[in-house]
Amino acid sequence: MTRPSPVTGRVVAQIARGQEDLGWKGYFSNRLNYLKIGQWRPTDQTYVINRTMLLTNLTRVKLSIFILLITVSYNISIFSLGPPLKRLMASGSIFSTLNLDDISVLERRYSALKKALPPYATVGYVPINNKIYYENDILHYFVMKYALAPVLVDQKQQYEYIIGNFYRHDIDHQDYINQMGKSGFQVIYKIDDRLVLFRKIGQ
Amino acid sequence: MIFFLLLSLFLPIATWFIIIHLYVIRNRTAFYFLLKTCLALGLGFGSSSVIFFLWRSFIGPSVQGIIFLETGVLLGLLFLLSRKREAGDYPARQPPQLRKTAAWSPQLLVPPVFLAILLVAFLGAIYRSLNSPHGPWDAWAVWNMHARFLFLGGDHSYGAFAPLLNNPDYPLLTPAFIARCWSYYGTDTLAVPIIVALSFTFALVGLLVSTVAIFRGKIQGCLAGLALLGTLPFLFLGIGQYADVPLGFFFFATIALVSLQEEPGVNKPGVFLLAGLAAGLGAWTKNEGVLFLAAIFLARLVVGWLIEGRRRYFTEIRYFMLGLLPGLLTLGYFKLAFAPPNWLAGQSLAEAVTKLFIASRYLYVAKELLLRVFLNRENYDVPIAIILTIYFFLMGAAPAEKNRPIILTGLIACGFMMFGYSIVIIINPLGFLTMLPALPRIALQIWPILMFLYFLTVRSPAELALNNNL
Repeated sequence: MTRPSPVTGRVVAQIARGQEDLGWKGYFSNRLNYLKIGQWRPTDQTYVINRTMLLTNLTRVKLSIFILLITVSYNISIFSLGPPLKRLMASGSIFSTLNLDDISVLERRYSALKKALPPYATVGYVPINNKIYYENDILHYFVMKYALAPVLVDQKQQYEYIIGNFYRHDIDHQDYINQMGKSGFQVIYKIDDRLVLFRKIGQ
Repeated sequence: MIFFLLLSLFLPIATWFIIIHLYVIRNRTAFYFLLKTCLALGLGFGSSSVIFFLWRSFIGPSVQGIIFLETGVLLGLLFLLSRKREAGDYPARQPPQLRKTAAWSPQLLVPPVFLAILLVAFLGAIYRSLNSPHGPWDAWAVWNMHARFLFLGGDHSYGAFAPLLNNPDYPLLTPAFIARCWSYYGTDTLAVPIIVALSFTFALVGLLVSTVAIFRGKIQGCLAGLALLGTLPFLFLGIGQYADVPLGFFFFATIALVSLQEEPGVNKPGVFLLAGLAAGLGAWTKNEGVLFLAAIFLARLVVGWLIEGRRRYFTEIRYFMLGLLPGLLTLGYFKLAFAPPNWLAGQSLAEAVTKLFIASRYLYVAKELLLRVFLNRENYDVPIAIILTIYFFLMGAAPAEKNRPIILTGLIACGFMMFGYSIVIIINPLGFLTMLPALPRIALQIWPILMFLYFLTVRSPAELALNNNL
């Protein structure tokens, strides 16, 4: 086949039997096997098309590869280079927040209770006033279960041991501790007054 | 101590590499080596998880027996390998295939850029994992929590803990394998879930690259790997220690193995055995794996029976079913002995069927699929689906005749999976909108299969450049 004239956009092409390649619009029609444009001249086995080739095959290859490589490079930069650069600009070190994510901090805090608990017990759990109100309450409850494994944590029933997780500073928990005392529970372990372990007296 | 940690990872990979090499795929080119390594990783981790769970359930928590068993199996296989070498049964190394290209061609950039991007992605994955070692919510609240109870539970069976765990009906491939590695190492280090997550993620990339390269050449394979790495939601899911990427690995491994049946040097019964094993391990990974079993049976029924012939279909399905047994039997035992009913069972059949007739829900799911999956832009990345669409229009389609049954199998399986996911979302007893945020995550389970089918279909740069005579 010959290259189309850039002036007239007219191509006269010799096509082998069974093959057709028709230029820009014909490119799509060739793939989709829909329209035929131009005219087939059986006398000299020539296909005449009247469209200018906008993209040669080599240009298509270069453009496709270029677009894909640039996009993937950009996406991977966001993934791999974004966070360390942010940390570097914020604190001068790319490792400044290691082990300081929320779950790591909470998990270290709550797992300190393990030494005061029997290894395979099931313990009760109260955040405040016997109810889990907020999404944060669910987070703290689930982290408690995760941190204390294999001790099981159940917020629905009362057990010999009960954990009081009074992480919310806006709620006064002293009344609750006093109530627990009247119900026969005493404080046997605590971490900074906000994380308290009760045990039923007489057990 | 670190020796035992490395041993826990090395043993299953080495064992399955030798099994695959000796009995299933004898080819020794670079991409077949990569394929076998990636398959060995996934099948090794999965089968070790089965062995650990069953051992713990029936014998006890002691890990010494498992170490002896796995080491003994590996030594036996090494002996068999050496015997085959001496007997000259080892197939000759195939010469590298030389491909004619122009002196400089843009496609020559692709392999080095792919390797560079792979390295940067890997380092980025490690950095992000170190900064969030417990992973996002589901990772620590479900998968790693289950692993902790399996490892720390002592003589107590999993059933003793299950009622108070989150999602206790979820199968246990990743938790059991993590617990197994912890048992080897002696403590529940955070490094193990991170290593397992990264291993499955990058093994999946390697599996895609090698499979596409075997069918369409090195450049097309590297482009497929680039497209998968460029899908940021996939990378986030991978490093997030979710079980969706291991599940996606087993889904894709099943399709890849079925696709390789006609390749020279491949033992056909063996490849269907492995495909069944991969599908069964998928069911042992997450509940969606059971849906995939139905999808792959349907796909092979249509393509294998109707197109390729009934006799051939029955031969392949026999070996496939045999391969399914380990994963499926373990799952069955787990569901019957330990797991409570799935949350989907929390409604009557009549209620569920009524929801199926609400047409607006289907439209909503389709719209969410488009926006959240294909145009997902949570991280200011460029959605790779848009780029691949542009790529397709520029390069065009040229699926080889021999690959069309593979493409059809994959399309039917993926179509059935998306239909199944949509039905689950629509009949969800917890509320129609509650599962929609999970839609991108569950759609990404079949994304590697879609990448594979895409790069089997789209014309390769070499094919288009060689036709540059217009």
